Order: sequence, then structure tokens, then C-alpha cells
Amino acid sequence: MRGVTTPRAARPWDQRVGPVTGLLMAAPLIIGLALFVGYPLVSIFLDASSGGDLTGRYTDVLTNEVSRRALLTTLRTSVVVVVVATALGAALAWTLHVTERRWLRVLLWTVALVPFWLGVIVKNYAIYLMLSANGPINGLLLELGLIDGPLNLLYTETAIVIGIAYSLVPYAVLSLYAAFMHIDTELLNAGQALGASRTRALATIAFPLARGGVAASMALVFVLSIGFYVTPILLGGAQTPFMATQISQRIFNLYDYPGAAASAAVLLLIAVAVVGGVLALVGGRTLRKALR
Amino acid sequence: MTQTEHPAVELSGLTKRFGGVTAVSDLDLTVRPGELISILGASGSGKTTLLRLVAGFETPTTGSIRLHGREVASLSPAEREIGMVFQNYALFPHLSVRRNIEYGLRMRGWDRQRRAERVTELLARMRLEKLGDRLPRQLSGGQQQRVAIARALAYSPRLVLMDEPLGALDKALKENLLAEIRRVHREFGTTILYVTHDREEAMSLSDRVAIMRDTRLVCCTPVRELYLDPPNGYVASFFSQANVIPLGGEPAALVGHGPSGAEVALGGRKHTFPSPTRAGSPGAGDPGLALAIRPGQVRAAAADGDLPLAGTVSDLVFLGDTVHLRVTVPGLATPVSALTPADSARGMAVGDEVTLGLPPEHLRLLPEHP
Repeated sequence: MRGVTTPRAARPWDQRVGPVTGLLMAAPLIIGLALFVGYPLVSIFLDASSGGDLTGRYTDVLTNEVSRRALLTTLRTSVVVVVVATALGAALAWTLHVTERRWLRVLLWTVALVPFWLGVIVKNYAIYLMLSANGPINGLLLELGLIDGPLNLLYTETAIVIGIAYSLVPYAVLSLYAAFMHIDTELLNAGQALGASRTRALATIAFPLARGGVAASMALVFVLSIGFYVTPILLGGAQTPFMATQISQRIFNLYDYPGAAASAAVLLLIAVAVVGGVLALVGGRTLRKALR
Repeated sequence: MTQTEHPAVELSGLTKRFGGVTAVSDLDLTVRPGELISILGASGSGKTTLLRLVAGFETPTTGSIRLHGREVASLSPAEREIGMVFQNYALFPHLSVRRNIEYGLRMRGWDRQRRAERVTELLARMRLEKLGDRLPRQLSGGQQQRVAIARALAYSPRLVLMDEPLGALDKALKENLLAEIRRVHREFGTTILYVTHDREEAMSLSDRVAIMRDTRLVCCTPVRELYLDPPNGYVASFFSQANVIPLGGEPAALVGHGPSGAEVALGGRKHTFPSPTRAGSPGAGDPGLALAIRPGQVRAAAADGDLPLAGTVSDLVFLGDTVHLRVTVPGLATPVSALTPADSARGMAVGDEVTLGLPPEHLRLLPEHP
């Protein structure tokens, strides 16, 4: 066979991607993240401590009457939002997990995801109309004779909770559904065959298995909730200031850019603390399993 | 069984429909206390649905379910006092072996000490002593299976339901666990309803075998009787793996019917068989008759007195002492199986023309369909 050139073996298709190719493929995202997330994050902290004042602005955010009130309102409201959105989301996600009826699944997914498809203004305006003095809720209560005059539903913390929870229920549903998806419903049958009531089987089997996912979902909702801007303005008005509103006021009305940066940094640190706290509480392994 | 003792399970007219699909139709079955009954059927025959109806995970469309004399149709699974072993074990992944076994005892409010004693006893009896603190995922399939059985037996339910518990295991392990289940049944005296699609499992385990086909119960008979004297062609081929030759004219035909029995012509010879005792359902018309014979009773070459059956060898598997022949016979949809001593098939090869011998004493005349 001397003299016959063997044809070069066709290179087999390799599924793996080398480190250089991998980095190149991810480059646009990495550059984008560095420019639009990394740089602003660093500059927030630099701005907040600009002019040689290392801690003064942070102290101001936490002690200044106006900003303190905004911070507390934000945190209090967000905690309630977490409870409401998780409860609603869990009921929806669990039903989606266990039902075998197609029409019900389609209906529930639609209900759960509609807030995703609506614009921020449309969503908030819809709730604004619902809650207004001559809106359907007051109308119904008046009609039924349960109240004598229209209730002040708008411009309250409750209105903000409704607005934010409505926006965040899809996040709760999706993350909880992901957590529930891995729970074999046969386990609940096993529990019931062993003598547990339905509720008891849910509490002793489903809940422990979903705990990590539920905690992750709550953290997600909380972190998103503390950054809400439009909803508190439209539904809360001046009586219930939110941190995001405060920050915007500092920038556009008071031209206090370093002060705004300090407020934003505080909010960011709270978010990081909550996520870190959840990680520590449920353990990284459980959380990783829940997010997988 | 004393006069006052109720049957462990009494199903009558049990029917379950899912929307337009019937899963179990008009089923009657009575199980005596302490009996081990296998429900054998192909997938989709309704056997799992039957078990889930008894367990209470499904509600019957019509019919009644009585467990130890008590009507349970309206009771939740928790109130039915049963133990259940699931197809994929359904062990609680977040609980240790000990806590898994203990679960039912906790739900029944046993105190700590009693629970601990009972769990220790079960761990010993199921040979799981060293595994009490492991999580299910740290166990092998066979160990998980033993935990599932221990969990189902923990509070000594009188009735245990098993849904294809050995389906996912390999053969050697299966043998072991079958022995284990037989031992448990003997020692605990529990009534067991065992669902499987594996006829060997059913054969080696049970007192009686209930065969399900297309949502219906075909028969429920002691296992040896069922194997040796199948009531119809379906059971003969499904359970006894017998060759079933319908009397459709070619190669076998019904030529006469008299008081002495039915005269059948096969391969140019005639033989009179006693008519099958079990008649077809009245008014349903002639169910059609068939001859059945197990592969082990077919001779590779026809001897004197045998009914001859000519065909072509289409497959030949050498198994050592025996040879498994498959012979295509004109007029038959499925090849005839013969399991014959290797010596009698010496020199035989695929494509050869052969005349099999069917000894009349081993041939059985029975209704072709249930």
C-alpha cells in the first residue's frame, strides 16, 4: 500500500466546546454585564462615599426621618407582598403540578402569566380603577349595603401590596412550580396509605421537600419587591413613600446624586443579605437542588 | 376460615371509567384472609387501577369494595387500614430508613418507645439493621424495596397491596425478594394482593392467580390448576405459554359433535376429545373451540398415536438439554413452539420440513376466547 496517501480521517463531530471558543461565545454577555452591571455597581459605592465622606451618607439614609420612613415602608410592604404572593403562587403552582385536567392547566397558566404580558402602566392602572372610590369594589360593597360611603382603598399600603403582589405572582408561580415539579405525587399517596390525612401528608412530605424552593421563591419576590417604583407612586401616592421613589427624588428634585447612591447601596445590601440569609438557612445544597 | 370471618377483600360489580375510557369493568373478586393473590395482566389491562381502587386513590364509578366486611368506597386511603408497596417504592427521600418505616406509626400516634421497638424489630426482620440511618438514595434497589415492604408492614395491616414491586429489579435480585415476600407472607400471615405483569413472579408467589384482560377478570384459580388446566385459549397462551390451535379448518377442524365428545381432524387423523366443561356464556353464540398444548409436550418427530402437524422450522434455539423449536405451520398465524430433548432434534436446522407429534393425551380442547 506504499505510495497511496491515506485520506485524512474526517474529523468527528465533537459536542464539547473548548475554553477559548466558550469564552468567545460568552464574550458579548460578559462585556455587557461588565459595562452595564459591574461598572454601575462599583460606581454606586464610590459615589456614596465621594468627597471623603465614607459613612456619613449611609448614616443619613438610616437616620433621616423621611428616608427612614421610606425604608421601613418598603420593607414592611415587601414582607406582606412575599406572604401574599407566595400563598397565591403556591396554591396555583401546586394545582398546576397535580391536576390532570388540561383545560384547568391552560386556564391556570394563563391566569398566572397574564401579569407578565401586561405593561407596567396597564397593570397598575387596572388596579387603580378597581380600587378607586367609584370603582367596582366600592360599588359592590355599597350595593350590598355593607358600607355607607366609599372606602379609601387607594393611596394605602394595602393598595401597594395588591399592586406589587399582582405583578410578582408570576415569579412566585414559576419558581414554586419548579420546586414542586420534582415532588412525586405518589409520595403523598404513600403518606395517605400510611394513615396521614391530606393536610398532614402535605405538611410532612410535600413541604419539607419543597422547603428550599419555597425559600428561594420568597427571597426572589422580596428582592424584586423592594425595588418597585411605578406601583408605589400610582397606588400609594405621597402618603406611602417607597425607597425607589426616594432615590428618584434625590436625583431629580434635590440633585443629591451621592445621597441617591447611598440609598441605592442600602437597598442593594439588604437584597444581598436576604439572599445570603436564605442560602445560609436552607443550605446551599438544598437551594441548588431547588434551582436545578 | 370460620363462619364469622369476613373475606379480606370482596369486590362486586366494580367498574371504573376515566371519562370515556373504561379501566375496570364489572369485576367480582373475593380474597380470603391470609391469601396471597396475584393479579396478572398485560399493561393496560386495568390491574393497577384495580389496586388503586382498593387502596382508595381512585373512586369506583359503580360497584362496591368491602375490606374485612366493611364497605370502604367512601373512606379515604388513611381510613382503610391497608399497607401499600408502590411500583417505584415511593420512599420519602428526605427521611431516613428508620423514619420512613416509622411514618405510619407516627400518623397513628404510637408513642416514641413503642415506635422505636417496632422499627428495630422490622429492621431486623427485613435484614436492614445497619441501614437505619441512611437516606433512601443511599440504598440499592433491593434494599429500597425491603424498606418499602417494612414500611407497609409496620403497623401490621391485615391487607397489603403490592403494585409491581419488583418491576425495576434484575433477575437475581427478583428471586431473592420473591423469597422474601413469601417469607413475609408466611410469618406475618398478611393478606397480600400482588399486581404484576410477570407470569413467573405470579407463579412462584401466589396461592391463586387472577388474570386480567382488557379491563375484565378472566379467571381466578389456584395457580397449578390454572397452569395445567387453563380454562380458555387466552389463559393457555398467556399463562401456560401453550400453543393454541383454533379449530378453523386448517390445519385442525371440528368434524363432529356427539355425546362422547367433539371429534377433531388434525393432519389427516381424527381424535375425539371430551367437550370443554365450561360452556361459553349463554346466548353469546359459539365461542369457538381450540386445541392447546404446552411446548414441552410437543414431540419433534411424530410417533405412533400422535396427531401429526407438518411445517417448516423457522427458528431453533439450543438450550443445552433441550432445544426450542419454532415451526411455521400453514394456516396458523403464530409458529408452533416445541421444547424437546436436544437428542430428538439432532441434525435439525432452520428451513427443514418437519412433522411434529402432538400426543392426544396432552392436547386439551377448550374455548378459544374467555
